Amino acid sequence: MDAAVQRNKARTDLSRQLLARLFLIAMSAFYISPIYWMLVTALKGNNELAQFPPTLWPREIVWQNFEQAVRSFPFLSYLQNSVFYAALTVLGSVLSNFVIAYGFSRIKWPGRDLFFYPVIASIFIFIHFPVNPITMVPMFSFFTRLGLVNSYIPLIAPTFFGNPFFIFLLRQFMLQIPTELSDAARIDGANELQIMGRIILPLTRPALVVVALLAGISAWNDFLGPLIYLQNDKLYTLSLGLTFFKTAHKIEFNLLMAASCLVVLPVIGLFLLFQRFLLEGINLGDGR
Amino acid sequence: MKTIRIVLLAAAFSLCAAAARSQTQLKLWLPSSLDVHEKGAYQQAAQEFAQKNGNIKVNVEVVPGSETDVAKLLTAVRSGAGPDVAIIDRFTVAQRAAAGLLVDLTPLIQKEGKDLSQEYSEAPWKEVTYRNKVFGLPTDTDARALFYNKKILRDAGVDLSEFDPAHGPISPDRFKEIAIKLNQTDASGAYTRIGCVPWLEQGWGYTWGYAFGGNFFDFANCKITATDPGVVKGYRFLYDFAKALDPQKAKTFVDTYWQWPSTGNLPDAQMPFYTGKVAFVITGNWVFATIKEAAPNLEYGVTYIPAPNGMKTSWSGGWSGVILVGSKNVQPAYDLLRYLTGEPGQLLMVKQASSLPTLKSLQERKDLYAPQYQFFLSLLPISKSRPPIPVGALYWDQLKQAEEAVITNSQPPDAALKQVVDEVQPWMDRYCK
Amino acid sequence: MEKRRKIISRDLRNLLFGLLFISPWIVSFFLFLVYPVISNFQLGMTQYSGFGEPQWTGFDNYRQLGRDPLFWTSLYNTFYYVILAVPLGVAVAIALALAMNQKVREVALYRTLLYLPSIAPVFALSMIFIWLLNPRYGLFNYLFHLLQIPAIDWLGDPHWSKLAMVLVAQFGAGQFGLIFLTALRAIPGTLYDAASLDGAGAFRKFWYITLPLLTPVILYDIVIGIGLGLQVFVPAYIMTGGGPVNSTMFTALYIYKNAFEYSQIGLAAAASGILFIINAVLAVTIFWSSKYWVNYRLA
Repeated sequence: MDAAVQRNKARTDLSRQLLARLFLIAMSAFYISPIYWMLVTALKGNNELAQFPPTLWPREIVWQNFEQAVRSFPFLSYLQNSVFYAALTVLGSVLSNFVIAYGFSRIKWPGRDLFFYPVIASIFIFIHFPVNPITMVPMFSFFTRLGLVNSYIPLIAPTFFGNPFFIFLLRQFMLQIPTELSDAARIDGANELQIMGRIILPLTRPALVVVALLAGISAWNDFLGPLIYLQNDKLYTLSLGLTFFKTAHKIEFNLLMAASCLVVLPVIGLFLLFQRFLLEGINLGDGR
Repeated sequence: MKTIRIVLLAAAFSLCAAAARSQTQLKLWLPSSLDVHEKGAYQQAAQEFAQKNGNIKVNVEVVPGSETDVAKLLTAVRSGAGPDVAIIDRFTVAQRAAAGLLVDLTPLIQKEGKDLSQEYSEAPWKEVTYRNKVFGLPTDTDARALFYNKKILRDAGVDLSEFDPAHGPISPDRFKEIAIKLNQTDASGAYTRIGCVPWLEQGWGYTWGYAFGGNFFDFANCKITATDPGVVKGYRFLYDFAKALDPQKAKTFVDTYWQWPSTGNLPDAQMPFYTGKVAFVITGNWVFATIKEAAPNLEYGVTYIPAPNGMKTSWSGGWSGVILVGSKNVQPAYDLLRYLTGEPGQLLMVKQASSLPTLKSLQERKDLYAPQYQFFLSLLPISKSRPPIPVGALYWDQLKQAEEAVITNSQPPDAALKQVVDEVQPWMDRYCK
Repeated sequence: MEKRRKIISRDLRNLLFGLLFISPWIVSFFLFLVYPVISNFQLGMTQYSGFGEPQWTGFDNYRQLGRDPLFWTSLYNTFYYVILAVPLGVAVAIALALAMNQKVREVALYRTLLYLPSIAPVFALSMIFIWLLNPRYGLFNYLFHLLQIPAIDWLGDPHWSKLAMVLVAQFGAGQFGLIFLTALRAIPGTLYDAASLDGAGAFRKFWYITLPLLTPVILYDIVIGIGLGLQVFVPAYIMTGGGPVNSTMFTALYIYKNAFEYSQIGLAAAASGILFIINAVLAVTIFWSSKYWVNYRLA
């Protein structure tokens, strides 16, 4: 009797697993399809590109597309700018959000929670950071008056003043570190900065890696900010340079896709390298 | 102490020397939507100017932008990183002048002491004046006409004399009849050739609106007149044509063989008219240069845009040079502008980019033009222009949206055009006071 | 006495330290949020081309917005997008999480593949989609062709273009799937065992146990989704430029075009102010409503 129930249960489990697997395979294929199509298109020759029905795998792999794509626009200069933007964004985000989150979690002060409400509320607006459609018109006027348009300052400076999403994420993480650690250090005569630097910083490192990654990727992916603030070809990031290149020149789609590969693949590489951190980081941000 | 003084002196001296040697740097911006020959002509003219004026250096930059989208120019000028001189679409000069983007050239022209208004043809000159002040100088002009593939027509047994300009324009109904017969489909029913997709290339709402005798703006009453009967008839023509082709199938064809500049790009050699994917196309004189390179063996002819009652129509666009507010070198910038838009610059445009000059003196020099240009020169006197109004860019964008609504048959012409009026008139009202 | 003073001074010290540590955020909050929001309403009362001085016109811009059918179209498009993309995103994410929770051995692989598009640049994805959705050369229509389904002109047909945008948005649902997965794994198995003893089927278990326990994550997903949806800009800017027939003219694009293409800065600011109010009202409503449907007890 019992064995039959067990068998039955095992059978339903198995069929359910099969169903789940089919669904996941289908969805994974769907989710990966843009990247697949990008790669395949990037490797096709001009004639194969204009063929119907389209081939699912290039009959002849044309690696020269990459070479030609890089040569047909100032790829290296754009790359340099994108790296610069991402690096400073990482620096600003890690520094500022760590300190702010520390103030929101490791020091007990009256009014702390009251001050934290605006942080939560502003996630709504700052979902695109540093430039978002709701605040871009006045902010552009503001930076114009300061004479800072056509520089990276409007894009980078805000990251040095904290971002609600990262504050939230780091605060959640820091709240899980036992307060006794700080108290013990205090009794030993350590001051706040020493506690922050010597005790909390090392323990927060995994979360800071997540912040660094997410901040870097968001700068790398930023389009609206460079679109509005960068006026000079020499300052363009890859995001802007690539898009404008598409409109300004008659270019074959395989070259455009080859160039896109060079933008997307570093992000994918970073992700695969730091996957473990990121997947844990997601769970930090889930609101509990 | 002594050494410091010497260092200071040396520094001051070298500063003075540097100032004496210093060049005036001028920045010239070209929009990326210019074709490669036009860009080349402007660049060469700018270099010639710099050579003639040793103390002036001209930096030419190609900046993303199109006829109506000059976002980069606007933001750059606002931020103080703008150029001294820019080439912008002429019909937007009024709009940019109203926004305060452009330097008023009237005093500079007066200082020069020439009556420039007499040197340029009337239509382009009107386009660069706003409230009786001059805000730009016209460079080139163009005209639109119907191009046809002789081989396809001959193979289909069409009498080519119907398309002889000497017989005037063909009637739209007859044109449609001929064009539809040239359609070819594959086994799945998808078009592999269409006689004519009348909205391709230069078949804008303006083209067909003017062809049917329409009027787009009423200057006397400051009214957007997109619902003028002629304009509606033009859009009706597009609507019916799309319906005859099946809008869905036509769209697939267009997206396959020709893509909107916003969604993709096609190298010149693959343009559907050159590859025989369409037998007719409305386009302008500038393609002569491209055809020579991309499709040298194409057998084609040019005639008037189809129109009812034998009415000869065309419209002209073209570019103009302007000086941007914030330029610190207005006088040298003006000199550059005069060079680009004067005889030397326009001559280069004519020779290299197959454009038509706006200078009367050059229009009269028939020796400059190959026979095929003569036809376009003859169009200039009857050719219209888009109304130079402060909401020209918005009006253009919205007419384009109405065109899309009509060619997808998602809205009848009168409704789509009424929407354009509703959208644009309130904006115009702001300038009507 | 001595001790009390010490406590007070410690409180004071903590307050000062706390404020000091969060001070960058206070600056950011006022400079990058409060200031532009107020400025939106101020600039919104002027006619300003970006050159010269703004001219006070009172509520003229708001009247103009009310009269401008394009502004209403943009609001309609934006709401259409949010109303479709957000619930669909939640449903897809939950479905993915449920499937991954079925003790599938190679789950790590799916996790990676499903998360990947969320971090890929949207501008690059948009460019890829132009080609992926091409009616003739695109992969999707090729698959349709194999299945004998007529090709869809995703980006060229006003009936499909908004749906194409919603489709693109779903490529970000993977990361929420992973958050849901964590939440699922945190649900104690004893709850299900108890339900089984009561004779509950799979659906009832999902409805009465799983779903309520997922509500905090659903709330989070909705909040982020609405924020993203109301500000959607890049896909439309790159793929369609707002067309065809203004069918993908979202409010953010409308603001951008007016501010940076048509030199109507005052009007763009007024529209931004309205978008802010919509955003704020939705946020407050959702947080307020959350106490009726979000279950924090077991979370």
